[in-house]
Amino acid sequence: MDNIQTRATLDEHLKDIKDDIIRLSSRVDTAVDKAINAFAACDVELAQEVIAEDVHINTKRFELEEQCLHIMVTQQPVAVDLRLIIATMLIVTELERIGDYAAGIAKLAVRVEMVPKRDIPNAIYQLTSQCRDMLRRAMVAYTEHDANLAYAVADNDDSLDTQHRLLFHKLVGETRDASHSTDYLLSVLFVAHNIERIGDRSTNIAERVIFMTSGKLTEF
Amino acid sequence: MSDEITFQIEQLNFYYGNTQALRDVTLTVLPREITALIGPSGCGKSTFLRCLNRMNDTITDTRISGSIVLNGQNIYAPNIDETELRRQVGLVFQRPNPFPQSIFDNVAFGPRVLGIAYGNDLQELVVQSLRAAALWDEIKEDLKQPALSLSLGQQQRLCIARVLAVTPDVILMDEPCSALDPIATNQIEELIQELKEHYTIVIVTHNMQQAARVSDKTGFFWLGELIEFDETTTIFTRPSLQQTEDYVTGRFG
Repeated sequence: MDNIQTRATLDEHLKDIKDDIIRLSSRVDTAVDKAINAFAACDVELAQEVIAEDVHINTKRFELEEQCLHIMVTQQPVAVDLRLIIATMLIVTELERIGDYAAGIAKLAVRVEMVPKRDIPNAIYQLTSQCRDMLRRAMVAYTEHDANLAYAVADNDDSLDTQHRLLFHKLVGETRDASHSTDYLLSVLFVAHNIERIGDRSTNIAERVIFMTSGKLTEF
Repeated sequence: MSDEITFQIEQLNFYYGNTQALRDVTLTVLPREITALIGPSGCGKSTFLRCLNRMNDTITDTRISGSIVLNGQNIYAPNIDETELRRQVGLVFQRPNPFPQSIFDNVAFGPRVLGIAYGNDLQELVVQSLRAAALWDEIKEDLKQPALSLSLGQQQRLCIARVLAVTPDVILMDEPCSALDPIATNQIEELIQELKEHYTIVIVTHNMQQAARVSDKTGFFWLGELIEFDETTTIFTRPSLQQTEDYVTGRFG
């Protein structure tokens, strides 16, 4: 053998966990998308699907943590490898929580079926689109070891927060109008809150990517 | 300022004949700290270690430039007593090398030669040194037994006791666990932590996990140069240089 790759086994393990976490983030992203659609359409069947998927996401989270523990024990990673493992363990927790928010929206979809239906505000779709974009870009930053992209994701969170605040005030104002169902508006408020939290979790992922790539512990 | 520094090494160059083994090494060793030196074979870390008590002087056709100041005194100054220097700066070797004598005589050898202690004082010094080297409880019943009858791990701790008996300031260790099994290695590592309370320690090791476990500061050598020197936690979590990262993550070369 001319050229022995000194850490081939470790590299293989790291590639596996990267692949697995990307698959998990994709499932989580799909769950968010389905949850919003279920809420908008009062689609109970779709909502139940999201709630069931959350169980799988939780299981996958622990599987990934086990993989990380195995690598730490058997390969004793240091420096960039150690940071990658630590970041992965933290990111997988963020993904699991985003899965919980999706499940939370799906549960509201089941509940909201009971109240008079209205079209959900466009701002909800915009918020959802923006937070899903943040999540996807945070995960690209993870796979590409791209700190600049991670910083850009974190920058987006302020805009998301502003939009959420505007929607919140608008919805609170509408609750004073007797023609609107308070139950429904409160549900929309909770949905908006969950979406805003998904943005926060995506920002946390970006912070972990910055730690992974540079070793800097950053809070946005 | 010099009171707070044990070794101040500046622009150190060392040559074996025409081969340069160390290039412009500048490094500060602080008192009561454990400094680990890591790097691939032939990188100069052991050469550097042996410069610290002039053990390289015994090799012919070698040359040195730069300065090594120990507690404010240049150790390569003409008036330096090399025997006194090596009392102050003891060396523990890769393989345990006890003399073919009793345990007692091994530890008493240095103090006798240097005239440090005699009679009851010598007895007490030997016991203290064996206790400090965490060997006393295992051998106290029979100090007359041959040192070579001890296990390798015990022999290495005996060699550490032998160094301690001449009351050094600094202990140099050149891969002190490379010949030992994991349990004996753990005992030496625990001992190193205890010795840190009273001594300054510089250790060369090929075992990076050992460097991470035992040391406060770590220096990475490559091709005779000190590439990076920093807090051990920094070196093993977020080294500044790619070369260091490649080495500690095992992707070197």
